[in-house]
Amino acid sequence: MSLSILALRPDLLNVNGDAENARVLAVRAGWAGIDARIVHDVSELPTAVVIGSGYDGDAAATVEAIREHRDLLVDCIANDIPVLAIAMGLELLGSRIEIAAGEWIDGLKLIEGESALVPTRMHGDLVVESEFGTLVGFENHTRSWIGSDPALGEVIFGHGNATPERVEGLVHGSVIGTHIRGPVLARNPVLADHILRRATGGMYTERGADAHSADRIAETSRAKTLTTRIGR
Amino acid sequence: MRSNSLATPADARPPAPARGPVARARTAAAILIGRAVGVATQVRRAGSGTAFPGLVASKVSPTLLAETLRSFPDGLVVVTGSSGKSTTTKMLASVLEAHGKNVFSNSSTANITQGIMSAVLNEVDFAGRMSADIAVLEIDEGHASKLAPQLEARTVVLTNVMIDQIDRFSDPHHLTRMLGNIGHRATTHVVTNADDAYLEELAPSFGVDVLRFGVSEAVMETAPHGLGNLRTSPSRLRSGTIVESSEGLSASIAHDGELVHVELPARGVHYAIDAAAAIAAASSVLGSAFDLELAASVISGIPPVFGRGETVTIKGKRIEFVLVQNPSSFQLNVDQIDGPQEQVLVAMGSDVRDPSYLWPVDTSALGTVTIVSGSGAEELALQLIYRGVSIGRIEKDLGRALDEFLALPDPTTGVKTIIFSADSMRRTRAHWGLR
Repeated sequence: MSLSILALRPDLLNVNGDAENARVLAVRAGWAGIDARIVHDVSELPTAVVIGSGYDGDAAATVEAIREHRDLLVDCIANDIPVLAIAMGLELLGSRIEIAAGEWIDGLKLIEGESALVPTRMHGDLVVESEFGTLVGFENHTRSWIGSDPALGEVIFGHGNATPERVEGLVHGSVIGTHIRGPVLARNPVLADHILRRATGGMYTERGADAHSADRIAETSRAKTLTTRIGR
Repeated sequence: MRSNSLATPADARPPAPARGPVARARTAAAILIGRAVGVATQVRRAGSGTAFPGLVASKVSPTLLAETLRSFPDGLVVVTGSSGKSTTTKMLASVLEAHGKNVFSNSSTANITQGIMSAVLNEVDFAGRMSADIAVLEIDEGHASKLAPQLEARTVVLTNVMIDQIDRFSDPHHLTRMLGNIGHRATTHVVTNADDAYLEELAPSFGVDVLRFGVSEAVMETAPHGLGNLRTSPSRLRSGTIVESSEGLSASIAHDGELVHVELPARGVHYAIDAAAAIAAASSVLGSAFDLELAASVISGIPPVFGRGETVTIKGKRIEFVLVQNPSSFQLNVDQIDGPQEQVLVAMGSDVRDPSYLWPVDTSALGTVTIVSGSGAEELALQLIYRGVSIGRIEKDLGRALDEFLALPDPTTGVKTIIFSADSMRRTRAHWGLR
């Protein structure tokens, strides 16, 4: 079996290295002895999908460009193929996005929910308690997410979805949405391994020795943020 | 008028703006107080507080900086953009000096408003005038945009639009608008990078002539990851100032059809592009007096820019410094390193708030990194590991890492190479007592 990890339009959706999470999945699969490659081909169903984030100034054009791949995403969701959607990647799956004060564009309407502008950009550390464990990362976005799906977790530090419920992200079938930017899967290997297990139907069992040493480094970095932010 | 008949030769420059005695007193007071603060802060904390005197002087006379920058007889040249400002500014100032101009310029550590003000304070007389003919200033893009309404520049040089710290200018459109604000203050020329698609979008909006610099098709083909521009223009420049070839420390540049050879202050096509920008800007300032051969020889004589591709010798060991300021410069520098080096130390400090934005950089060509250090060591190590780079070890304490790295026997091939962020560079220099 060879895994194909689709990084969707990294030319548009790799701000802050979000699309590089496809690399994290492919490399970790490789460490576990499973052949995997990163693909950009949107003509066939992949094993997993990463949708990163684009520049806010390009939001309208970016959403239009991704709309062309709506059918593929519909098929992925219908076939239980894991999709990791980050920040704008999450927003564009919803029903509508506010791109300037009072100015809305349609999302791809694959998930129920909308993204409204908040007065000030939310950037800084984000700590989330989730079913996968404590997720740590950096958020950098300017819109809230108000949707009907269950959240990925509770916000312990930071903004997350920027709603009064203090929750972050969403889980919708095989879709995981989050505002944690950049290499969220390298910093939170439990999430990476969950996606890989789901993508391989359980074939991914042992993470491999290289993953152990990488994850120890990630743990040190996570511990620093946790100590600084929540005194843990 | 009586006051004119009393003019001394020293006053043969343009008079300070006509203002009442109160305004003049305010200017003098601002300069005096600013200088006093400068002396006081240097006594208190050696080497720090560069911007503080400027801050104080600006409080006393908010218009002092703008007035002073308008007072140069040959005007003001502003160099701004995401990267390449320091090198371009240095090259341009040197070329103008070689053409007989007395140039006032600033360093990259004083490229924000208060820093420029402090630099001005060191040279200005109490009437708010400078002795130089012309000012060539690199200005931080955010500060340039804010200062723009008060400035009038004969020439504005726009280097490129790249991504800086993500929590600063996270939107290239915003950055482009800021560069547009300062570009619109040009009275003679805007000198702009034709390979940068964002700048090319701006170019038609300037009400003055645009002089372009860029690289040839052949040079573009040799850059494995492009030139670091967020968006590259679809076609290459056919006329203007063109980097025709660039290899290692050598480049050839065509200016209005005439070809010259230049030696660069450090390896890398980005330095050749800076040289092309400086040549285009110098031709804008000097007009028919511009001598291309002279410019090429001056540029070739410029010593390595602080910390960028600079080689130092510490306790008999040769070490090359590579400063990385953003993903683009990281990529370009990795691409410029001659194959995997035997001994590489990579250090990143707290100046990189969130290293996520470094993840798109293809660091695989580094092969092996001996030591990863600095407060951001773990994050940097993860980037390298997932790019297939093997890591000797992580030593967060930079001083210890440097000592250990230096103590390693000389590499059998290549040179000890240290790649660092600006903060780690400062700490490294301090550790080894370098200027």
